[in-house]
Amino acid sequence: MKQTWMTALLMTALGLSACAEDFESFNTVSRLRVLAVQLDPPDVAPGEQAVATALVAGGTGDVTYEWSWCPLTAGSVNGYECLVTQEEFATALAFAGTGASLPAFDLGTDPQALFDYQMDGAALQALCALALQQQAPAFVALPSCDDRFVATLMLTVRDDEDEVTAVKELPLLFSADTGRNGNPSIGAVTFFNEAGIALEEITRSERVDVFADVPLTASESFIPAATNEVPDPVETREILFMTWFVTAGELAFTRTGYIDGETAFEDIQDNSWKVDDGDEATLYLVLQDERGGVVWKQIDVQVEGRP
Amino acid sequence: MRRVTLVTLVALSLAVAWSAAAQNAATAEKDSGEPSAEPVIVPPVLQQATAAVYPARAQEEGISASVVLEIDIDAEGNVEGVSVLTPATPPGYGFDEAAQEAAFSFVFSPATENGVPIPVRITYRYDFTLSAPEEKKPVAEISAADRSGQKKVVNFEGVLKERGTRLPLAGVTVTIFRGEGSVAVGYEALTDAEGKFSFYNLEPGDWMVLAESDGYYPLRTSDTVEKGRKTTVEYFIERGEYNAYDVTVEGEQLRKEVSKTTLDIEVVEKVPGTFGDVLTVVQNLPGVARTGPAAGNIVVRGSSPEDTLIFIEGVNVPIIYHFGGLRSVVPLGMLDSLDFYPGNFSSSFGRATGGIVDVRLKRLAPLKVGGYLDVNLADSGAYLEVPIGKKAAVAGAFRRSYIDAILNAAVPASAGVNLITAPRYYDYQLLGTVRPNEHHELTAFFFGSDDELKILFDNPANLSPDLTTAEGSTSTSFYRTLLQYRFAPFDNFNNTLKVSAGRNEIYVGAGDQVYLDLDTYVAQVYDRAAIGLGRNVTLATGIDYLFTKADAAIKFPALAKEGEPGGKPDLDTVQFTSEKDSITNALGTFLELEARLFDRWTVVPGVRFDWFSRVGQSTLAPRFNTRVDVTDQWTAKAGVGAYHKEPSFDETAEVFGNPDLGLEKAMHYSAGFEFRPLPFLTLDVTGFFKTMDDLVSRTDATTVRDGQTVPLNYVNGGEGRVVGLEVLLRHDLANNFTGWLSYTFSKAQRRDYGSSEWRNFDYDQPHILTLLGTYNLPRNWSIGFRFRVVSGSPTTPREGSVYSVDDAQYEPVFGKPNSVRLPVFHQLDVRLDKRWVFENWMLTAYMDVQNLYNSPNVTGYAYNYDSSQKRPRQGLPLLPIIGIKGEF
Repeated sequence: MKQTWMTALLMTALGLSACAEDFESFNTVSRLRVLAVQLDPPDVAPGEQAVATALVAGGTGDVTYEWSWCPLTAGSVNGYECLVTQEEFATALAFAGTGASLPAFDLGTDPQALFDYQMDGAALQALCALALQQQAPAFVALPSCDDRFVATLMLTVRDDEDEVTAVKELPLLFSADTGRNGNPSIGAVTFFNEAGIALEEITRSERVDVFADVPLTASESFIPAATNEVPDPVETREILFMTWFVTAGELAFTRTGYIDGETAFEDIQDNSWKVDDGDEATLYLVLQDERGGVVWKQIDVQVEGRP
Repeated sequence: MRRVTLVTLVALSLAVAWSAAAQNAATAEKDSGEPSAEPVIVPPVLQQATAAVYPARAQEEGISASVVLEIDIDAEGNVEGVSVLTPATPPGYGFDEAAQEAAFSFVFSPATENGVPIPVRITYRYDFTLSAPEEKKPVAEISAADRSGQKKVVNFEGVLKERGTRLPLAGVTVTIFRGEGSVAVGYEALTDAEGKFSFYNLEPGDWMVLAESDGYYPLRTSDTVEKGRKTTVEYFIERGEYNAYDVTVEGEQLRKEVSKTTLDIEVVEKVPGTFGDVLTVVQNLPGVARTGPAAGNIVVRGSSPEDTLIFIEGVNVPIIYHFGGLRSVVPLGMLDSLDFYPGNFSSSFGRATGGIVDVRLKRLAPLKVGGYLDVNLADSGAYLEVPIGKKAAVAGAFRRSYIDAILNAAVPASAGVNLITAPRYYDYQLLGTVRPNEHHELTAFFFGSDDELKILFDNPANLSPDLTTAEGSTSTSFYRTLLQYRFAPFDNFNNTLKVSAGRNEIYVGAGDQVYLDLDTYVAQVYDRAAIGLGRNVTLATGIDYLFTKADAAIKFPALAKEGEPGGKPDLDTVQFTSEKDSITNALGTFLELEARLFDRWTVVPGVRFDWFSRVGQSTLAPRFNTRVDVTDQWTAKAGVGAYHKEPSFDETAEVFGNPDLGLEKAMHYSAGFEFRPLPFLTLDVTGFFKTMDDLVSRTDATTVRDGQTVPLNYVNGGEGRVVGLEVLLRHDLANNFTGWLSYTFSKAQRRDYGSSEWRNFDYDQPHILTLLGTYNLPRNWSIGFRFRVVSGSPTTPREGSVYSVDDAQYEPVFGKPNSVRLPVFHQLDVRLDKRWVFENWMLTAYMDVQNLYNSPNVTGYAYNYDSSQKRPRQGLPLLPIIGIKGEF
């Protein structure tokens, strides 16, 4: 156990992480990608509906969507295979009592999906307890069932060449009184040259600073769930991180972040970008909080200067 | 006139070509350790020789010949065995047989080490010649007093020492002479145990001085004796080879193991590609799989690394390497040798189902203050040893790395990482020995080690969105105190008691997000008593007790175990547990009989009882080893035994594992033979089969504990099987060469709980070939090489990925575990050493070049962000390392 982490730390220190190979960068969008999925609201209370929307980029031709959800998956190592069939789940719902209604696992093929949570929270909690009895493969965390049941939302998109599957947690609260989360927000995005002058266009092969105006309120205060390590948690600010994607050029950081007490809030807002090819480029900013809140912003820019 | 001449021997130092002229004094093989700590070895002296019968036909045909014999002499001076090292030329006349027969009746005065008789092996040349030898004109009178009857007045005295080490040289003839022809006069004196010699009543004037000894360059000088004054001199003569393994003591006890390899530290020091690290050299022996660079693991006969125990003089240590494999935590200066048991080890070892590596401390007996300073690219270390009277000695050592300074300079500012404490390690040792007489020996050893790394990330999110802290750190420190008392009141009884105590402090973590914080006190008592029951039977028994008291706070995700894809740990599975004053005990006792039957057949039945408090289980493990000396050259051997070990700490922890787990079991079976066609050449072939049961295996099941449904995590439901063949062709030092060829064929598989299929073990490497050697060149140069060809390890392929939106990264989807292999590994390492010998000290410079032809060995694959592309990840490129070491 120890050696694995020691090695990881050492490798990180030496800058030998796997990304160092000469692969295309994670944040360069050159083919079909799912960059983000937003749930609105990010956690769903009994009687509410949540709308799922995806930020899909880089596709060629027609892009198709296939939404689904699953109450218990086999985790990342096993490709998020759903461990419960629709029939088994229907039986479980019947166990929860009449009036319990959750959508079918298949959520449709539209660019957006609707999740309708029409069920008593207590009944879902009972179902959650039932899920605990299931055999969970290695590396799969069984649900805690404290104040919510976390299901999995899945999206598969296809274009003429590629297929991409994305998963996102789908928190189903047992009560609307539980502390709620909101999706964060991003303000204006501004480009500056070395002299600090704001730019409308960016110049080819010149590095520009990018400033994303993220309000401090994007990091909401909340009280984390009690654990055996911290039985009496205190209020804290959400951790935020922003993933920066571009269609061309190279960014200084793949991600920027804010960790209350560890890093400065300004750190999340600043990056720099240099584009060498093309006449136009797109910057996608995906801002996420640690409780599943997501927002994004897309900025298309003209690239001036001789190729 | 027919004459049979006994010309002596040249020990294995025969290898020293220039010494051909110096073949007039019997030289025993001697144990050499570090030059600075060499014990006083007095060679055996031929007391009674019987002339060989000159073969009649050879005599008729006027044929002369020489036979080089190898003679084993026991601690009483009796000849135990004689073999022909170099047969007579021409063959067929019976010279070999005649020489052997004569040698069997020789009687020697025994060789001694520090005054204690020891068994030795010497090389002896027996010349058969038909002509009378040339009469040697005496140039010396042994006793100068005989010539005049006058009062003895010493007027020329001195001391003879070895150049570089300043060790006194005993038993060397110093000749002083002058004049030529009929006026020539000369005298001889033998140096005493302190290297002193003296002449008396020498006439004033200039005298020539000659000192010659086997294995040394002759000293030729001149000095002046003045009337009425005493001339005092100090002479240094240089050894032909300062390679300490040019002579080897064969004083080992009765061999009883089926599979055991002993490596002398001097052999280890020059093996290329290992940086002189004793444990790294183990990886070149048969049965040991290749692990990655800096892995710090020893994988023996298809067993997981944690199944093999590594001891330092019987003491368990939490880490044996600094930072996972860079250097071992005890420097060579403190060590004597290493015993490696890949399987079928004796009942005196327990709590392991794989192999045993037992590193033994130097038997401290310095004759002078000595030490060394070792400087290389990774660290610097110093060692000092001091004799305290004639019966005690102390030694101390310290080493510190400076990788931190190098890395701080090398890591660019853009890396986004601040190395608050870059990888830094140090270790320290203090060793003391008191030997009041041959019956008692008390050794105290205090040693410890400290490794630390602290990192501050400028932008943690950029490294991983999982990171919710800006710092990461790891530290491992431990210390141990060992007291060892050996009591041997009679020839047929000895007892060794070892008591050790110490503390381990281990931390690894990233802020409050994940961490493992262990603070453990450890105490160990080991006692082994052996009593001889007659000439050929020994009964050994003992106890082996281990106590631990631990405070632990662990917040970690589920980590991949053997056979599971080694993906990134899922921080969603992080769990926390803490324990205070958690006490565990493990008690073992053993009984073992060693019997030598008919002078050819050794049987070693044994049994071991173990009790493990952590799992609340006890076991009785019978073991049996046997060896049969079919001829002087052929030995057959076989063994079978049962072995047990506890699951690892995390596997029995309530939150992370299953506290109801039981012991893991293994059965070892092995059989083979050893063939020694030449004294310096041994072929060892061993086939082995190992079954493993009740292996800890992952399960999906849940259980109810304290009224709550929780994952069961593990059960004792796994199985393992390993079958293989090991071949070791070992060439001890002869003709200036030492080395070995090691080949292992093996198939190691596991069957996980709930699976009907066998899969490859993580380190299943069907073919492992290692060719390794060191050649001693004149003038203290040596060159070594190591060439390895190894089957690629199994690996688990990736078959795609899923984008985890909440983590903003792709999670790989894995294929069948260990279903594909990495390409074959091959690599050549070379090492060049040069030693300069000065009067009072020596300087060694070395260059160790790893991967000389820059073989692009694949250690794994790197994948792009969504696992759709992969490229081989290559191991070490061509890597030269240089270092210097000064010894005094």
